[in-house]
Amino acid sequence: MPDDHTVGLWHFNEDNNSQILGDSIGVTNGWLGGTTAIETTDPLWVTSTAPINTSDPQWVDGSMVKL
Amino acid sequence: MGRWKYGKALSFDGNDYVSIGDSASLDTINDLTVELWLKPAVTYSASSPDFYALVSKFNGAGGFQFVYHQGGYLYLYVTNKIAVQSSPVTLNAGIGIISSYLDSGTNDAHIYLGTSDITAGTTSVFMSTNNSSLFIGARPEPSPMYPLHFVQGVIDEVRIWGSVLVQLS
Repeated sequence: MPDDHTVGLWHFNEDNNSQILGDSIGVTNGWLGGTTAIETTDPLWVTSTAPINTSDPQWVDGSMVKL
Repeated sequence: MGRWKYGKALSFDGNDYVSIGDSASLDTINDLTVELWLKPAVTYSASSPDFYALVSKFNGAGGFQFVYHQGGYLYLYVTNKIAVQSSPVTLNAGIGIISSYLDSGTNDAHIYLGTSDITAGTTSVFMSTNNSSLFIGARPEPSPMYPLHFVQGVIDEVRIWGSVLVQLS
């Protein structure tokens, strides 16, 4: 869960081309904007396929320190 | 390459953006950390045209923007001034997390690629308010507001803190 210092957090975790960005925390969910008439559902929801590498930094709550 | 924390992300093809809208909570920040996961669809290099706005709340005055600029520099703008500028870097499909922070108390500011601090400077600028929407993947141009400087690639887990975060050594 985000801490009290989080102003906004957007997971972009919906998968149905919704115009509403659910699963966000903080300020308004927002909406998707495609700038051409034929791409009104852009940007697209995709499945992340990057490999897991546990040696890389995990920039989540537990690995960062507030000054 | 890091792990994408959640199963879905957003893919931007060069004319897309996300509008979060305006919020008073974004205008009251003094300390600031901006972070996102980025997997570019193109190689952003020193010869890239213009700049790509990763996260931007900017309408000519006030707010902030985190951009990748021609010349290979990552910039965190606060109001219309450069708060911190990275060393030149090429962003390719291997890039995971990029982040930047501004400490208004110490004038300290940094930009990170993962664990690497690629910062080339510090800051003496401070946050101020504006009425711009927050855009992800583009920059809101003022009067009337429209998006420009579009990102090409996948963005996920955009997070803004009203505080300063640094990584554990």
